[in-house]
Amino acid sequence: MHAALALAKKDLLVSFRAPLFVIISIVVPVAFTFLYAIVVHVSTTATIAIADEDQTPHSADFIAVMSQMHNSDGDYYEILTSDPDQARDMYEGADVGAMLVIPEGFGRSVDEGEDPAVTLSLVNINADGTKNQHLRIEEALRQFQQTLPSTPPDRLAILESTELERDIPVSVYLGSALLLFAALYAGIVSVGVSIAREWEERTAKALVLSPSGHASLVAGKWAAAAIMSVVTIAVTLAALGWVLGYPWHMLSWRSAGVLAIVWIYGAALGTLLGVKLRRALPLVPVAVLIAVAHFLVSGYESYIRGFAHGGGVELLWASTHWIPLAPLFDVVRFEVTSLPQPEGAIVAALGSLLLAAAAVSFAVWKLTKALRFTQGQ
Amino acid sequence: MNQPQVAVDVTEVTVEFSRGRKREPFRALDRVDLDVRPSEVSCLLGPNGSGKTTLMNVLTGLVTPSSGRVRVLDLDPATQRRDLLRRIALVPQETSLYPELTARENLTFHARYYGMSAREQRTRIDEALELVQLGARADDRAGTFSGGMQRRLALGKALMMRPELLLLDEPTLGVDVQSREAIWNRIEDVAREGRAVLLTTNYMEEAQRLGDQITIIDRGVNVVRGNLNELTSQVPEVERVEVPLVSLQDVFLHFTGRGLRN
Repeated sequence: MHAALALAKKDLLVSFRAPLFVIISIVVPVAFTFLYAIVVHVSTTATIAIADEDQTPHSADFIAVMSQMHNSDGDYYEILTSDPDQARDMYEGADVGAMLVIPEGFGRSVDEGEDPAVTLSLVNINADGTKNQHLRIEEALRQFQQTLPSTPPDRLAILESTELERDIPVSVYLGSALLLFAALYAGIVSVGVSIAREWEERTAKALVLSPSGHASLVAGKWAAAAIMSVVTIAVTLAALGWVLGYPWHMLSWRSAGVLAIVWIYGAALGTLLGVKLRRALPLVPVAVLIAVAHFLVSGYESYIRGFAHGGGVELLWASTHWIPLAPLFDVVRFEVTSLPQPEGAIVAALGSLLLAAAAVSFAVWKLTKALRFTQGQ
Repeated sequence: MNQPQVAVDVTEVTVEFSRGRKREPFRALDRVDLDVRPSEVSCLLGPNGSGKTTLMNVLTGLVTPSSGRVRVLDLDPATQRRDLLRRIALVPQETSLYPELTARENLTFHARYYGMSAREQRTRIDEALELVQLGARADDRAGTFSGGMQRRLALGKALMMRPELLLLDEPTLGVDVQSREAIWNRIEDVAREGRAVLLTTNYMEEAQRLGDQITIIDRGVNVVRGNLNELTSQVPEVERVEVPLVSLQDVFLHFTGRGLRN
């Protein structure tokens, strides 16, 4: 116990005086958070300029329908202007990617029971953005037409049933995955680097030759790394709250437990990587690769579910069942959105801890073996 | 605790590894004998790759021999490793210091990690710093030290533990004359205090100055053992590099050859 505490204190002091790797462990998840903040915002809200040449109550109603469309993540549209000249200037100046022209006579067509027509101009550099504008404008027209007394009801009706009581906002879906990504990545990097640095600084042999044994070594490394990882997770959580509006105040002990389990899983992988690679800098990209792979497979599971029929994606989908982390990501999402907890979380937690124990056991075995063929080095 | 008659007793120890992609068997040590007695400095000489560090690893329990008998302070390193590690100290080739920590912090960490009580730490750390003449630089970071100062600090770290057996793996590698002299003096002090010292070295001058007993191994095999007089008497006059006295370097080259080792 004293040995583990001594090692933890030493590691914290060394990290404080040479903080490069602590900074690296914070920068990556925070950078990912900002990257996904853009993705979430773009997928939720489309910007558009409207040239309202009609200037009638009907055109105003149509614009009102567009501005009120939203889902649990936010508004469908951010309408930058409805002034015709300004809209054209913005579109031609590439300040906006889409312009909707409501032509003169739009209101008269509506009054006369004709189908109203609008013109959508698009900078179609990205088909996904084009699709987003198509789907939204069609929905806007449909909703607008339903407000008119002369419009017949839809001939095709959609009856929707959902598995969950309510939608999980994409900011929560991705935000929770990013939070666990931060815990996993911090676990791998902080433990892995601190072990690898013992080889780089040629101090590993002195640690292994202590009568305190390998358990103290691993415990000391984990203790210091846990404290540094708390900083990483806290900074990531603050970034999530700031840029994604992630409702971190909804997290409770259950999510803290999940974070701890995912961190332990990462720390175990970090122990193995540190002992195996024995180099700190190469360990960082490997840690990023492992954490991103887990983020995509376990944290992004719902995105690949529909593509799981044939080809490489089927393998990817199958791997979500081999790596027991996916249900743990859902535990955090469901808690933040006050939904009943998913099934399989306890099995996933036990499976993750079992894998972690196996990784650490293998690492400790390698720890002794790795010192054997060193020719004095 | 009764001091054993022989601190290190190695009899016909063989260590076999498999190495390379084809996992070919490799004999790192082949029926090697070695003994180290209290109050003596025993030097282990050999060309690069001769098995010196492997033998050190056997003595600390890091490597288990394929065959042969090893007793260190009457303990079996393979099965009684923890008990053994409380009584010995190793100064490896690498100095095992943290450059971001001061000399005092390095010693404090080592003392705590090796289980020294807080009361003992207070006196022994200062003693060790004075012993290796680093008291004035105690609060400077080890990363700012010269190679010689780092070697002295590494030695201080080991001496602080007051081991019954001190193992030194090339303790003066790359140090200046002054630091080397200081390290040699401390090693001689340890032997005078009745403790046993085993050191590996590539410096003949070092072995000649310190070695009460000298063992030369090459390609994992004992080639010759004895004190300096016994060894020099075995070399024909015609092979001697220095005239008129036979030096240990003459002995070394006679038994290990003049070819380069890669």
